[in-house]
Amino acid sequence: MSVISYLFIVFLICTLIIYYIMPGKFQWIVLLGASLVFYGYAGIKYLLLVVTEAVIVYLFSLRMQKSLDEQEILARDADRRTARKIKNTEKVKRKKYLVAALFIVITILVIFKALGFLIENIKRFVPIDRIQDIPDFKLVAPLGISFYTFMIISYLVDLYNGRISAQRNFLKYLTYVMYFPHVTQGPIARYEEVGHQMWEHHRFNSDVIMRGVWLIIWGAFKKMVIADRISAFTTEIFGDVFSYKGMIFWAVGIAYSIQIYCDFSGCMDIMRGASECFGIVLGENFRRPYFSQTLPEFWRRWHISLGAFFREYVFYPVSTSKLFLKLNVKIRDHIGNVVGKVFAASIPILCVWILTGLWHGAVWNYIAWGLYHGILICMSTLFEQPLDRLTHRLKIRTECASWQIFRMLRTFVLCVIGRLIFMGQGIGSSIWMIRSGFTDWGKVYDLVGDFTLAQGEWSVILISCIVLLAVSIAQEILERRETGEDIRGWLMRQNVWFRWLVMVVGISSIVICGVYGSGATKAFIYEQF
Amino acid sequence: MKEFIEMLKKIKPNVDFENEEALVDDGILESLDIISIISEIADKYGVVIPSDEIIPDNFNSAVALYELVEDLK
Repeated sequence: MSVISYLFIVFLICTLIIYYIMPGKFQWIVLLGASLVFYGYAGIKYLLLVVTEAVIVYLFSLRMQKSLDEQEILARDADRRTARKIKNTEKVKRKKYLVAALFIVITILVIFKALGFLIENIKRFVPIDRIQDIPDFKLVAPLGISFYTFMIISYLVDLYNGRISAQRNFLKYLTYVMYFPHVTQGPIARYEEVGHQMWEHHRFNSDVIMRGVWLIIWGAFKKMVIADRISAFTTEIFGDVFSYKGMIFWAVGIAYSIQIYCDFSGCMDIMRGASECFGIVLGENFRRPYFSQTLPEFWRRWHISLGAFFREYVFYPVSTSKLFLKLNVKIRDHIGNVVGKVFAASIPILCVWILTGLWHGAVWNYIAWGLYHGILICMSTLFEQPLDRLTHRLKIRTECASWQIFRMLRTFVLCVIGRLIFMGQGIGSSIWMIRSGFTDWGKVYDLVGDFTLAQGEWSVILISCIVLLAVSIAQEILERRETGEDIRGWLMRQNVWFRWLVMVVGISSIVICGVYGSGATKAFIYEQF
Repeated sequence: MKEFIEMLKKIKPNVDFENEEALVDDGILESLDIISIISEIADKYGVVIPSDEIIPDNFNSAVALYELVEDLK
């Protein structure tokens, strides 16, 4: 069920009506029912797979909870230091359940997302007849498998660390895993952030609904008016890159950067808005990433929940393993703190980034894209202090707007190059786009005459992007003031007529300028991951 | 404590470890700095900070971090 379809609007309204009619303690059952319907709509066999995975993880989680209960009893009257020791002893007991459960969920993920890629590449590089006889293997992955698998992993690891208690009611646990606003494209919500919100009683409040609807409209605007309209242009070029050359690849790189941001963050806004209508606040997944001044900052603002997942569940555990700690000290002793810090951490960083690439799919372009970002992040840290010294010597006023805008543009250009790597149909086509973009400057295209999009459509894109930029700047200013107020908070303080006017203008702009109806792309880019 | 702060300053110069109380929340310490601090602590004090203790509360100030190390000794 596409979240930008009429069916979804009807589904959401019906669910909301039943949800608010239902007595508070049964409201979560409405969410579970709606989530099963939503997911089951994509295919019953996938629903069965997710439920089976949930059952397995649930059983292991109960075993871990037993150890946590014992830990609580033993540590009841102990001082802080003894309590930590008890905790570490109990963690050893929980480890076997964690490893077994992780093995199962990660194996399922690999079978669906990477086995075909592995077989294809083994056949490519090992010319042995028996291996060549292995049939090609390609399974259609269940909807949102990368997202719900990561939520399950975070649940298991948090439980192992004693950060949360296991949910003893299986149906409640299933509600967390399958909650329809986050199951297909995230955000990768941690149980401790959303679990308790799901079981609370939520009374009907028109202001809460209005805030949620505003976010849904804003997300639909970004998706249907900007992303889906740009899509015709980017698909045309990425579908046949060797027919083009020169500056057009910069144009398509920039266009695709805007498209993927509007597509993914638009979807997040629709889902977060829908969730807020139920009184459940999901974490922000985007904080205006293209205003970032460095690449590490970009990754703290883009797909925040995935970045946090990899940092906490992969990067820290790998880097704090005994092997890497020893390596870290040795390297820093030999080549100094600044350079050594980066070299020692570069292996876990590159592992994390290759995994991030693989998470998008087992495709060489995604792996290369991950590696590209990993290398840039290592270099960014390596050159941080020398560049600081250089700017100081050159007496550059780092707090002035022009310097900050320059840094934002520099980061954006690096991201655009990354997009060209990501979107190539094979590494060769990515290299072609980047090389041609830097060298064949003589070839000029007419954006109106040479491509599908007409002048009117380009005008819609331009005006919409100006609106997007204005809203983003306003939100950035509000956030920097640290008053805790966002644009929707500001709107709530305005006259009721003005509030409704904003809503009507938003809906009208989608109806008039949006891409919909037959032939429109209803899918979201991140749905495939 | 003084020696502990000297160690932190060696890893991340120009940071006011004596008074700063939001080292992680304000983005002063990046993940690479945290890893360097953990490895230095492991080397100097023989204490390995487990990954589940890498939370802002433990790294926001030198005092909080020192207390964590003392507890884990």
